[in-house]
Amino acid sequence: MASVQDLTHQSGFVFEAQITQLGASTSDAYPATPETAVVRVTAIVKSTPALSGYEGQLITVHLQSAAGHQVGQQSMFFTHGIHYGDGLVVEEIGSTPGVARSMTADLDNAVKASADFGMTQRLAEAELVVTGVAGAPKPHAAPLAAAAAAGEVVRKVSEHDPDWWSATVTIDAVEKGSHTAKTTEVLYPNSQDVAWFQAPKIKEGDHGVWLLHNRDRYGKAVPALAVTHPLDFRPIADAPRVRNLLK
Amino acid sequence: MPVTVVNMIPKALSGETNQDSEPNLAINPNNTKQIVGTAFTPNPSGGSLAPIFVSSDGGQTWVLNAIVPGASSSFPTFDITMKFGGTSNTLYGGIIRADNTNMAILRTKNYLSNTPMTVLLNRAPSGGSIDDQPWIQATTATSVSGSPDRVYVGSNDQLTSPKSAHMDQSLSAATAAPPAGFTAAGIGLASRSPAGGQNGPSIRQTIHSSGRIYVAYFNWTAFSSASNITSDVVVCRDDNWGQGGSPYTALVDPGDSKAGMRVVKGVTIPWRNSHFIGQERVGSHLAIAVDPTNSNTVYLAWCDSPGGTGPYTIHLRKSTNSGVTWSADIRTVANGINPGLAVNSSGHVGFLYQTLTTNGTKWETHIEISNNGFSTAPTPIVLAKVPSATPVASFLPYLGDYIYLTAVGTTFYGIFSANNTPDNANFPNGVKYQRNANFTTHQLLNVNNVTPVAVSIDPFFFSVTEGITIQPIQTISPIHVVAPIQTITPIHTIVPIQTIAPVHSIGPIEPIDPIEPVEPAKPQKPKK
Repeated sequence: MASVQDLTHQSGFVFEAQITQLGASTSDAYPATPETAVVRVTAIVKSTPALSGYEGQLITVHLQSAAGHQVGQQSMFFTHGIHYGDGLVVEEIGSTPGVARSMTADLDNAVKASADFGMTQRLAEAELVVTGVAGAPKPHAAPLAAAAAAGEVVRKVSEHDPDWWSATVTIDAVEKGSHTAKTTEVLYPNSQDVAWFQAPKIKEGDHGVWLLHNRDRYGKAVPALAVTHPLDFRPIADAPRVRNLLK
Repeated sequence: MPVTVVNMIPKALSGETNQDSEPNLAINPNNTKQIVGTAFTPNPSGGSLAPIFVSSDGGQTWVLNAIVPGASSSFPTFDITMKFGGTSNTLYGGIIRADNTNMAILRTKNYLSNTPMTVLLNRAPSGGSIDDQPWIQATTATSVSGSPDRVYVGSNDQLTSPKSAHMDQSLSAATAAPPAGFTAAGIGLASRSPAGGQNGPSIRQTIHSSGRIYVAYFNWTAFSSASNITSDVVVCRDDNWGQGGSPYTALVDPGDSKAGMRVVKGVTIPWRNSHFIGQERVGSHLAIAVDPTNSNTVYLAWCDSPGGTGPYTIHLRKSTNSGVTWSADIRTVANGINPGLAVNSSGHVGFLYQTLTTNGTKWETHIEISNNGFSTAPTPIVLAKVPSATPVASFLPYLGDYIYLTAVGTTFYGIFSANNTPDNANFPNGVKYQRNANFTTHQLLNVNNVTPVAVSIDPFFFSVTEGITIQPIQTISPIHVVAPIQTITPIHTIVPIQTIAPVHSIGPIEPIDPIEPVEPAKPQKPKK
């Protein structure tokens, strides 16, 4: 069986629950089968905001196999949602008998590891990681208006353009990579479009950890070192965690 | 007319607070109970598949089904549209992937299955600029041998910049292995090199069952220092499914002898990728629909700023001669966005739009249905009238760069996004919620039906069913005067039948005296 850590990472919804019925379903549109069980969620370990309200509620788990499960049994379920209708149905990726409090350490570590996974990836892909303070941001390229006024051929535009701005970061320390200057220019997408709204939006005085990349979060080359993923800027309080992940 | 409005968020997601904007809709013409909706709705469990909304009961209830590949760790998809083929029950999609910003064309035979959609085409953006608005339309060409599914995906593709109006198409998309008739290059639509650097993001096509296809797009002729676009609104046409060596060139503008009729020239469109009107951005809004009963009749709508200073306005126009000439505006809507157009099987035209009203405090979603080609202005049906300032936008687009309207038979179907406050006053023609909501306290509630949930933007499905229109009995044209019957030449006088002389009376038969019996001759002795 996969580890609790692996199961937690693979699952979008991890919870403790008590089986109330086997061979049943809470959703009219998802028929009951011998593998479907109705469970009452008693504790949530990992979820998205949309599923965070399910503590105390009945949901349906499509089990890998009904064998080994009994009515009244409490288990940890590692699952992924497969049906969101009049009721919630999740698919078992794994389960283990027991309650959350009996495996708190394992679960805490697993959730933390899952959360660290994304940060670990961004750190691995970063060209340069520094701690420092941002100065006042400014548009990076000549805005479209100025370019047009200068008689330049207006560059192609898209609703999904990043609208590059930049700020000068005064460096406290270089955590990864090589950089000798005391400052570095940091590019960021100022756009609120769906493609970029989650990217860091630098404000003067932002003090933290900067994960600088020469490609954006979609793998495309950028004009200068940039922060484009929500994880590419962390408040300075996160610096110890980041340093630990860099080891 | 019966109007149905349904909030599409399922009960299982009563706790969600996402900005589910930019909706699109697909009705299965083969079975109108089967409907698919899309929006910027994340997978509630995360993962690499984005969800679609699916209904099997004509839109009364909805379920989320995560089958669209290309989700990132933090967002489902970017632009997404979906359509069913005509009779094949196959669902097709055009998306901008959230994981790598590639444009992808997708297919599934079973929209209810958990199996991820098949990727038919996957194309990276060129020049570092993400493509815009893959817009899909599909049909089954029943007049063609084999009844193939024909699928058309318009997009603004920098691959062919500056002539960026682009069409990817397959003449038989239902069953072949990827790319199933799509080509890597697709077709460039624009005949004019846009001096403004590119065509606008919106490419819109409408298909007639005869194989006639109209496509509308913006030809940007300038892009000013104030980020105002000067643009032509162009309609091109193909009369044979987009086939042949010079597709989409059937309409030639006599003004410059180039393919694509410039319906209007030199309109001003503000390009504002910011909160310009009611927290929404503007810059490219376009819709087109052909009359299924008459391929010569086509309706077109777009948005611009009249005179360069007027409010952002929707214009609606019509052609009755296959796009050669166009009417003046038959409708305008100031402070309007997101036009949608459809013509039903009675030739009645539906016009959907969203408009900012009440001193900018309300977003209203209207549909107008005209049975006379907008010769007279129909009364708008108000589908929603909701606050414009709440919730605060998380991203752009706030409501969407588009909404959608279509028609199957005489029924109009559509989708829009709006503030989801459960208040019957916000929905003058009624609304049905699946997610937990208290319409007395106007409070959304979580799955426990107790914990309050913040207001957000939800997708709403609607349908408007036209009644059977009894046409007034036409005045019967007077019967043409019947020529009098010719005098018949009289038959020659028939000589009267001669009197037949009576048969003499036959007297009674006289009794016949009985014949005296004759004694038999005595035999004589023979002489010796």
